[in-house]
Amino acid sequence: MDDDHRDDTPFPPSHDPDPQDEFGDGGPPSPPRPDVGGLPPWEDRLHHGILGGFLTTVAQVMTAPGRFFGDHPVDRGWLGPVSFAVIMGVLAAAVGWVWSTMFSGMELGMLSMLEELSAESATDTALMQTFQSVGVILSPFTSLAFLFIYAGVFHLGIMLLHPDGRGFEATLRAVAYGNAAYVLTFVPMCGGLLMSVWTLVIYAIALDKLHGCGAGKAAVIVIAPMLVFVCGCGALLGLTGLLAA
Amino acid sequence: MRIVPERNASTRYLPYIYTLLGLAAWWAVKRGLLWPAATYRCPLLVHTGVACPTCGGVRAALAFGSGDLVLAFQQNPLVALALTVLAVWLLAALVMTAVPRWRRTLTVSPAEGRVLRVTALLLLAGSWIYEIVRHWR
Repeated sequence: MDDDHRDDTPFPPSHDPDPQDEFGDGGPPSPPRPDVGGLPPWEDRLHHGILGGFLTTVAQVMTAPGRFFGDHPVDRGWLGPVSFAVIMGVLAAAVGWVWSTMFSGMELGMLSMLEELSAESATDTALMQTFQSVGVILSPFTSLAFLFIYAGVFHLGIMLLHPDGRGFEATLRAVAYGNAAYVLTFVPMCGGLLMSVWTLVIYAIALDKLHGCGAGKAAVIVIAPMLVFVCGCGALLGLTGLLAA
Repeated sequence: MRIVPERNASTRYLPYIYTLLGLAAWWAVKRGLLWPAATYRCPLLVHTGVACPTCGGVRAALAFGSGDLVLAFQQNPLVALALTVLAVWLLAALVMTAVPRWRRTLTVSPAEGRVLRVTALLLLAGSWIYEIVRHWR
């Protein structure tokens, strides 16, 4: 008996459904889906929808930034990340304006109840309100400007410390999707502080994952600009004081 | 250093974006929207006598915008140098956008990259030392 001619089909035959046959009924295959491997939900709006894509992206960045940026394409263009960052910036500015209006109104109410409301404080509050309103109107432009300023500064750091990085788009994506942390400004009072800290943490994680530069270098790249311009002077002053002593 | 055909067009858009940002900032400073009056003194400098690396950066940018390159380099050499590089980069981007067959990218070898990085750090340190010495009481 010649075993070489045996049928190689395993028994029982494995159920290996046609990936195009969604319902398993052998019906007409559905059209092939575009390759969206690793795309963030915001850029995969065909499947997630606009609101769903936005909210899912925010949730993923806030809860699992390492996983979000670990499998992230860096060659899909700027439109997705830039639009996300601008929307996030506008939302943060609008919510900030709402909180400011609400709390300054409460403050003025309390001051007038205590009969300590001066014309000066009322004028200051009105002026602040006007600035905040203008800030909301200008927020699409300011958020766009700050996106590119941050990305530029961080990319200079990448070029200095990790020359094998993955190009400017990776840095732009790190900053743009890192701005998801602006959602913390929705928390009244302490939201701004939480946001500033968590944004830096997410930037560092994103740069590490997207450029593969390591957590230490990523932290240095994110914090160094502040250290150079603020603490650097303090450190130099301390050193000068020590030398003088 | 080698000049190779352009691989990613988005890099060519960067000088446009940063030039627009720079022009917007320059206009805002000129109009007095972004910067305090000329009589304003930096509190850090006044109280400590130590300048930060960006000291004179806005004045350098204003001088550069007015075409006074000498004054720009006197105010802050690093900012003036960065603006010069940006201007050259913008010019190259404009030419490459207008003439597609001239679209090229500058690539550097790892050794050249190291030299450039060390040079950049030395320039940053040198500029800061210059600012500290210039403002030292």
